[in-house]
Amino acid sequence: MPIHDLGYRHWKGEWTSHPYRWWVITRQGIQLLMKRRRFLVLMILSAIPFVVRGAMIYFATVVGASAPFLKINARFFEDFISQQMFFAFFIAIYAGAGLISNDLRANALQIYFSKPITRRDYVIGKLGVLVWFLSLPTLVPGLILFLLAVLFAPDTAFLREHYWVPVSVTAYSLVMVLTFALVILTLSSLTRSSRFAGINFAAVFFFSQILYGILSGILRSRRVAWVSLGNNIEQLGDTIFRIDPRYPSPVWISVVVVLVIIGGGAWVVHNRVQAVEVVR
Amino acid sequence: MNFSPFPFVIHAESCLLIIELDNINVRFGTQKILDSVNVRFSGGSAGLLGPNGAGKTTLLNTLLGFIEPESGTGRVLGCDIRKEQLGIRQKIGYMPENDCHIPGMNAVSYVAYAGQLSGMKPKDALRRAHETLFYVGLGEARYRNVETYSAGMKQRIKLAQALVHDPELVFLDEPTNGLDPKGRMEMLELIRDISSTKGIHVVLSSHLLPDVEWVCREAMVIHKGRMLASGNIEDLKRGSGAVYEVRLKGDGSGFADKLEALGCRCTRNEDGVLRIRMAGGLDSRTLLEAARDGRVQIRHLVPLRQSLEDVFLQVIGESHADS
Repeated sequence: MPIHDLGYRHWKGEWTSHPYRWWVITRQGIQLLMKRRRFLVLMILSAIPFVVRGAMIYFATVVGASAPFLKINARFFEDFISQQMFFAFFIAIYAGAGLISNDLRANALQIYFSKPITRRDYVIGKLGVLVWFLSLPTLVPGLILFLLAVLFAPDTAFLREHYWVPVSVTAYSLVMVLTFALVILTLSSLTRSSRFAGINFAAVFFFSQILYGILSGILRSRRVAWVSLGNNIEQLGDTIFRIDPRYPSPVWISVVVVLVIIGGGAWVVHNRVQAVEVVR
Repeated sequence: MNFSPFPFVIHAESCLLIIELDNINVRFGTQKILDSVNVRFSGGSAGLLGPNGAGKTTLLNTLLGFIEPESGTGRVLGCDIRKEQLGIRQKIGYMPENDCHIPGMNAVSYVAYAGQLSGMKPKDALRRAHETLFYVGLGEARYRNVETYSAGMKQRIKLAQALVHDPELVFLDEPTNGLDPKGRMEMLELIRDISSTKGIHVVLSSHLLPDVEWVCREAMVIHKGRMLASGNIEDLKRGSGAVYEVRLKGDGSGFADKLEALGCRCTRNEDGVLRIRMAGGLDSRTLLEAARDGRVQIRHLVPLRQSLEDVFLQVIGESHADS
């Protein structure tokens, strides 16, 4: 560019349409996280179970090994996604804890909302970052594993018996992804410290599990499994995959708990995200 | 200070007003922050003046749609402030008062991101980001992380993100805060250039009167949430009456009493010099007549050039007297 052009010039380009404005936020969030080496390592580690499961499918279908743990059925896919909850937990902390809290700390919301961006765009944009990164170790490999199982199967019997599994994989993954995403986003919107948000997320997860342990010990019953965040997700996973629920607590309670977490979280985040904080 | 006329300014009342507010009231709890504010801004550059806590930032936030007024109507660039907030934000740029940035980015990424949030395509936004950063004087530092910037650089990058999408109007909230004298002058020169040669309307909110006087053609004085005066700065200066500095031989209290009876305002400084603000329509002849009638001798009579500060203090003073 010639030196005389390095000044202010008017711009007469085309505008993008507003309905996709949230994608700008999501894309930027993804790009920023992808630059962090530690996060990339975490994402790569989260792919190891996928590789192992892929090998299991290969051995079970192509080689013909018949060990009981190599049985490819609905439980195989459910176990895989449940197993990925471990990585989803750390990814949620790493990717989500600073998503809103860092913006609050840097007073970035004034910048966002001085642009043609609504609060809904902002929340969906930030949620999109988490949905993207939490889907990578759950939904995406779950669907790929199913595809592998279909491709390696000697006939169409597997597909005829398990045609509904992709829907279950999607549904169970979304339950986990949305629950984790909204809990961490809520906590992130309540503080200016990403570290504090991350610690709180871990506390919510483990405290609810400890509470379940204490209550089930006192009451000598596992019917209180719904007090644990992780148990509720697993309980719903069992139901979605048409497997006997692992806890005796009613499934509808887990549905309500998860819906309250998702809905309440979305409400809190939407209300916490303001261009200016007005003290009334 | 003399200002050259601004060629793009729309003077006619019948033309579209850039900002038009009618009886805007904003209340936070029981406290009224904006009280029946009326604004007519036809374009160019306007200073929003007022002491700290006067309601300047609240007024800007209302114009941006961040705060919904309790009552009243308003339009910015033809868009309703209640219903068409996104339309307004598409056309305006906003430089907030406090330190703010989007964390984890260098200057180019940050400004390009601001452009994309405004609706520019990524390629266009990136190109514009480079241009804008050169324009505000951050060309050499554009690959540095914004969090490492000095206070002056942070002010400049806030201006860059406000300009990246080529807005029709920019709201600048205390743009010279935290700047050293050199940085302040550079920032003011930039703002003056934006409004005078780039054809972008500017609303500059500041409590620093010289900044407004240096950059703006119009001024709006706000105090305790009420718009006390607005209009062309030169007109405001003329409208506030002529001011004279007078030194008398002797006491001259009768002289001052007579002038005050005519509606003039007299203040005496430590050296005994009288500063007299003439009532409307009166001039230096009135002073001479008052001296003759009071049998006092005028030793020194100098007409003072009115500054915006004089206008501001007068308007604020009158407001206190009224309340």
